Amino acid sequence: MIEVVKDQEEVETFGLMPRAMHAVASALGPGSGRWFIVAGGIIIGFIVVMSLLAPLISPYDPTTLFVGPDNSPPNAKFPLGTDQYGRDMLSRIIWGGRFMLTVAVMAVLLCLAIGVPIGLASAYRGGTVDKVVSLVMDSMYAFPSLVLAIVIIGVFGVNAINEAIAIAVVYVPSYYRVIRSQVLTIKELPYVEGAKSIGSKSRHILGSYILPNILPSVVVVATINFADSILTTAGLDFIGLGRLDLPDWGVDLYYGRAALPIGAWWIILFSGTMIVLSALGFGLISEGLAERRGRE
Amino acid sequence: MVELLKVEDLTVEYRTRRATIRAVNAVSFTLSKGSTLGVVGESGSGKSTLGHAITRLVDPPGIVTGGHIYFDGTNLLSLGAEEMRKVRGKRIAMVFQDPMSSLSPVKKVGAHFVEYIREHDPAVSADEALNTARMIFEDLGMENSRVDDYPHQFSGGMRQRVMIGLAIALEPELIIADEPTTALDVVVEAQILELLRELKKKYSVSMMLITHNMGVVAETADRIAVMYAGKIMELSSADGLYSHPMNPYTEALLGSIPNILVNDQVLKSIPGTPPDMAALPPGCPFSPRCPFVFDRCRVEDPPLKKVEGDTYTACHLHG
Amino acid sequence: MTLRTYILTRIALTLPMLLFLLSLVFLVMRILPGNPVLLRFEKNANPALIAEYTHRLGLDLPLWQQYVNYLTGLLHGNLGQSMVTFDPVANQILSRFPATLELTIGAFIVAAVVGLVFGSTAARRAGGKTDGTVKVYGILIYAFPIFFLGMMLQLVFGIWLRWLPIAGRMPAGLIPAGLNLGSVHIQTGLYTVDSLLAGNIREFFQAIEYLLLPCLTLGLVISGVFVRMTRSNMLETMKMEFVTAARARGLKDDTVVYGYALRNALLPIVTIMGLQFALLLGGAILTETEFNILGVGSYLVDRINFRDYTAVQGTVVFLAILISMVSLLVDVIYAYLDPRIRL
Repeated sequence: MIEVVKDQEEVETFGLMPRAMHAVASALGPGSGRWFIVAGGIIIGFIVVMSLLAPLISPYDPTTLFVGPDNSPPNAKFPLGTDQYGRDMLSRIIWGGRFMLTVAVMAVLLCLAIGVPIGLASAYRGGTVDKVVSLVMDSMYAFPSLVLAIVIIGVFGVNAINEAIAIAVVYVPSYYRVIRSQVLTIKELPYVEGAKSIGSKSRHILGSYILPNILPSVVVVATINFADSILTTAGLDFIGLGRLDLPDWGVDLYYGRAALPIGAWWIILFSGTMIVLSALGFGLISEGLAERRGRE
Repeated sequence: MVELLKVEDLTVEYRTRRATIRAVNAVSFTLSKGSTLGVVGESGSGKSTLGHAITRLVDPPGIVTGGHIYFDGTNLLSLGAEEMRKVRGKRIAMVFQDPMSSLSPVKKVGAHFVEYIREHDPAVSADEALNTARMIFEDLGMENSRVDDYPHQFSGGMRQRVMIGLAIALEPELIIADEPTTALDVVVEAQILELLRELKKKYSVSMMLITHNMGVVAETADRIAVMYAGKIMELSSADGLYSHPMNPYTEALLGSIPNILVNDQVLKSIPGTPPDMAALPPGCPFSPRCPFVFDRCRVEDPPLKKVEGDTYTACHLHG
Repeated sequence: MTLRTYILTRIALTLPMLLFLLSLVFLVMRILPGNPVLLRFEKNANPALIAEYTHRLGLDLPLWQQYVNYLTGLLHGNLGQSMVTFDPVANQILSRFPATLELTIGAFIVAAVVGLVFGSTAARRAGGKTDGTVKVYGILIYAFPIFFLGMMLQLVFGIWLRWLPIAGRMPAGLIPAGLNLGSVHIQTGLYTVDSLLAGNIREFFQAIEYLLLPCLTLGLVISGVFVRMTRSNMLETMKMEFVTAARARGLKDDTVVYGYALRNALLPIVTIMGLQFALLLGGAILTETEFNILGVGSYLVDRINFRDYTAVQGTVVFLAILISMVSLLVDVIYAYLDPRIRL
């Protein structure tokens, strides 16, 4: 992905769309890691579509109590059974991913909006600023994400944006690290030196040379970010810091715990499996992408 | 002259997503018992891969795709993994370039010997094996108490002695030395080469010496094979090679060695750049840089052919 | 760099990082929400009560003074007081810490063993089916929410098969006694250790029984990370020349992989694993909650549900310090054991 620029216009007109399409095409093309990306993509695609179509395909309203008998195992009328409050599990499964996915998307966007500029600026500038920011980021990097999330949610209340913020706060250091190590390498490369010598502005260098080259690794981090975000949301739900009023796979597990002694496995298994699938899907994509890059 | 090693049309390819690279291209030569064959070439000429291929240690994505390797009559390529393992170390030993990284840092040097000796002959006890190691150390001019030291406690030259010690410990028939002195300074290099010569005499072991240094082979080898882009360009006796090179590449190599006796010389190099192994030109791989090139060279890749007596060359000019 | 220089540098680096974290916690818990007492009672309660609470907790002091008290308090081991019971948080945490320690050590052992075995096997057969399977295992197991895996294991082994207990650390409030040496009573709080000290083998096995499911749950999920770490580290190591040289000597494949590659990679791998302590702690929170283990993790959850913000602050501070200390220790031990620095 090294582009020798003959004049500035050439780079500017190299639009974002064709580049994005090229990236997707090469991700799906033959080569190592392809299976992972495709499999992960199918899983995530399925979940996203299911979540989007929920109002249309869900047999019952997932929050209505006692549409059926309580604690009934899977049967013809309720294919995935009902929970302690008589709610249809199938409907809850279909609706259950929306909140988590929303939070995940918000978290990733926040991370990108905050982490990428900070990483680029700090690594490119260097000097004391870089050292201080690195110190701050290193301190936060080692801290368990769940603890910080618990504190933020516990203090500021449970809603999607707070969860997204909590997850973003913990994840920005990961983006920072990856971006920084890449920028440090790239900024020493001859073509950057060349650009500087013809008087290109820093902003231009960062935008046209460095940014496109760090994007692949940022995408890898973003996919892991998605996966971790889903798991963190689930974790918060389980502790009791979730939106108990919404249909959500993690909340199902929170309630499902009480059902354990009576052996009502259907309240737990399906919701848990959906969480695993979501995290798995993103995990597979991330592994596939990483493998591709490694095999260059 | 008994043939110990006969390599016929050996081809080794590296298959990656981008391209397939032929690191060793239909290479053929023989090595007589008790003699030393020097294999010279630039980096990327395939000489190191050749050495690894003979002991079947080529790592993926590399793969042997053709040819035969006859060692004492047996085709090594047809052996099962377990049988080959028994040949390695016992009948054919290897010495590697970087003595620093060829020994396990967390293992005592003596332990390397013990494990090795006992692997090929379980009847030997640990004590006996350690004693053998001690004797070898003395033979190589090191204190025998040093078998209890760790690799990083040795200097580069001494580590290479240890490597050589390991190579001769089981008195193999063939030693393949892959750039054994490249990582050493000239003084130590001379000592190691001297050591190799003595060992050759003492244990009458045959040797394949792989190096990029024309000077090293001149002293040590009986016959020399010159490699370029995976091919053998010339194969002849050491004396013959230096006095009557039969290949433009050999000439160019010899020509680029500075003459210590001449003042104010302009350093001659070979014009052009080493070949891109993923995109070799048709015909002779040296054709883009050869001063004697003509049309046929660019179209037809010359095979290695006998010129006279024991000399072979792959060149349309001479063949 | 000598060992001594390394340790000093490392400590010098840790202090600002720790200070930053502690200040961050202070910021999030005190400044941003305003008055934690207010937050707890949500303006409903009678103002006089709020004022009294605020005063008792020292929250009416000027901010800078609160900050100074906070930091100096830490130096004395004071982690604050509970907003609910006014008990010192430090006492609560210390009494619950051994449970967390036992759990994390047990889980670490499970994760490390699985990681090393699967990871080195995958590296050995890189590119093949085993490798692919192991890679998928790593991703799959880590995708499991810890409590989900826990629940499934409880269901299968605790409720359906009835082989193992599903909650707690020992049967019905039993606590291993520890050892009495004259007037000194040694009780670590680690039930496995204490039961051995007391010479009670039956209790020892009971403690193990109760530890099995929680440690397996947490350990297996974390093993996903460890497997990938081991695999990539081993792949690098196997490319090194001493591995090829060992093969060239005709040594068996097993010998080469385990005796040469793994032996050399072991120290760096285990060190990196040790540095993942934060990961284990995070997981411990969920594991303790799921298995009703009274540890620091479940204490945190407990306190946040009670809106006991000062206790939460104290716990988070404790965790921050703990993680920093463990990382420091692991780094130092590695530097000490690295043969290049040692000899």
